[in-house]
Amino acid sequence: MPNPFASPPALAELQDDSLLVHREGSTVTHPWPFDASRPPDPADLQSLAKALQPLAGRKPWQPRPILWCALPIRGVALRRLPIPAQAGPERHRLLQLQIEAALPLPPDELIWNTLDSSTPASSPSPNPLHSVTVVALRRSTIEPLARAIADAGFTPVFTLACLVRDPAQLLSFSGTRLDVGPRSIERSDWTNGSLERVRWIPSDASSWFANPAQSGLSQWTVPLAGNLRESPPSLPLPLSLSAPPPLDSPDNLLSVSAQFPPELSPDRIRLRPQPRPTATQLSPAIQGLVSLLASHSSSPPLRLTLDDSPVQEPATRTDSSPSRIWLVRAAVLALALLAFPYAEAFISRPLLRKRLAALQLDRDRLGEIDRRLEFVQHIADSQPPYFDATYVIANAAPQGSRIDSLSMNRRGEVSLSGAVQSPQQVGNLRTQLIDSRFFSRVVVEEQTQPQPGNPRTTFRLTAQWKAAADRESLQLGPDLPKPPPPPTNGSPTQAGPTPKP
Amino acid sequence: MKSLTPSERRTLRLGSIALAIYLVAFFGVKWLRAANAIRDEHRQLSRTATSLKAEVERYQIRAERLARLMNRLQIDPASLRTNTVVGHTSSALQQAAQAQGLQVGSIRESPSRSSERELGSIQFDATGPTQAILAFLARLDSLGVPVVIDSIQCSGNPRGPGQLKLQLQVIILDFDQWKPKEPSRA
Repeated sequence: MPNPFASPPALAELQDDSLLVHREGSTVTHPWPFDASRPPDPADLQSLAKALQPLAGRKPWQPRPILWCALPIRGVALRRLPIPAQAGPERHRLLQLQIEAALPLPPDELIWNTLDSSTPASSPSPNPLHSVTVVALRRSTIEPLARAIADAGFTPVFTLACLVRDPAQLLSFSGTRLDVGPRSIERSDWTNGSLERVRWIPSDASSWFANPAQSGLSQWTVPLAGNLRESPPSLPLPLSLSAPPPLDSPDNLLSVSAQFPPELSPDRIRLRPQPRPTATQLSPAIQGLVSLLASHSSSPPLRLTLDDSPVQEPATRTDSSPSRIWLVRAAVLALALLAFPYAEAFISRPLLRKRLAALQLDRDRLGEIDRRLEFVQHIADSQPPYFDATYVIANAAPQGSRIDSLSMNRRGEVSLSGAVQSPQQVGNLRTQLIDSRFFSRVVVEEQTQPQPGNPRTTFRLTAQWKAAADRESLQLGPDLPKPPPPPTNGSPTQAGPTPKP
Repeated sequence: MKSLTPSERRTLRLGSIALAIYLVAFFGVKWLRAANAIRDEHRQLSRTATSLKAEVERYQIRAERLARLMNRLQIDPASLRTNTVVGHTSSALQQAAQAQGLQVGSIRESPSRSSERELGSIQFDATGPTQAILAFLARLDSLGVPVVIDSIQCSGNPRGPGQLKLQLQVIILDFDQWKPKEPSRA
């Protein structure tokens, strides 16, 4: 099942004169003159980037797709370097020193990495020096191509084509392998599946068809030339291949791979003719990349990138690829989503209990607030309106009257005795008291008429003031001045503190 | 040690996954139940705490009203002691009267009736000018003692014009008779 968070990679092979790119059923072949001696034309770079852009589509949440590009061995240097068996940045530094000593170019001008088979083993080895196979090529050769690929929307990663052609057969292969192309032959020497030496031999396949009669023969002779004659010295020349390809033109020939076992037995030579791939047919290198990337337990044995990071350990499917990181993040998020309600209960339950105990304590004190409030409210409500009654009586008393005694109690009973100048004023006084709406009942209990020698009328009346609810609407008298502040000598008259709820 | 083939690795991987699923299913149900119980208890505690908090907040208004009344009456019920409040009341009355220039007369203390929430009563006599009598009466509700004026009797003083004789009877309330109440939900 495809990973929705990962972009499917693009696979490419750089051949003698073109770049072949394949991704998700689409194949693009773009001319690319591979010439290490001169930098490519900027127009060619733009043209290549434009041609690759249609293949670089991805979903918004997906990372940039990786473009695995298989390179020819032209210009590739392969060295076995001894370094102490250790890992990490120190290994990278040691390798840089070794490369600087073994190669004519400084490491900064190279793109290099080690082959997977040469990484140090986890178990300690008795030999303190570890042999590492380093593959290096000039940075300026690949940098323009990598820039064009990056401009197209890909992340370029390079490997060697000879490492990925027929990867299953190379696992334990020992011998020499020839990958014959129309304009070159790639020779690689292997020992137990480990690449020992590479050599690029220019050749022109058109010369193979100089004799038209050979194209239909069962025995097809490849005219090996140049340096291939030199090694191995026992190679029988001209070489006869037992399974001739059904080719009739050099234009249909892309590569021919032949593998020679160490004993160079002619009857065990295998020939793999590969016609130029069509839209549905891939080159051997791309097919090898497809099989390596499709398998969960393997990956291309060499990974060359332009970044200056330390030597990359073998890339495996379990590394922290962006899609896996996103999956982990999503899983953590989902887990957090599920766990947070429970975590809240686990974490905040003790705090909540403590808070609840404090609130319960406060709740117990609420009754005390009620009790005190009721008490002081009772005091405030029980104070009889003596001042109001006195004010009403004083206002109602006619001029010249004299009050001898005034008694009031909290039940509202008022008794008043005094003297006025005429009997009529007693009636007026009673009328005034009733009209004040403060008293509900006013009774003149005793009234004496003026006597000779005593011109005043004495009286005694009783009254009853209304209930508090009936008196509420009355506006009686001016506001009394505020009482002076109580003494602060610790007597009970001092101000009460603020209540503590 | 023999290295495992991809098929064996796959078998081991699938077995590990199956075992993990079994363990999660077996123990997960128990853990889930326990976690749910804790979560339910937490919810219940939260509801109770919220309810209590709202109840306490409702009492804020009552507390403010109590503070205003205590400030106006200059009284703190928590500081009242049953065995000393009568003495304090008598002392406060005399001090207030003397502060207004009244001449204090007889003071008679009476025990309370058991059916009422009273500690007792004090009958207090004083003489003085009318303004001083009225000022004294105005100060009675801020003496800092829990008293309610039961009766007032004013009569002319034969010593001179403008002089009044005051007979005052106050009731001293007993705060201890106000029983603690359950907090109301109002």
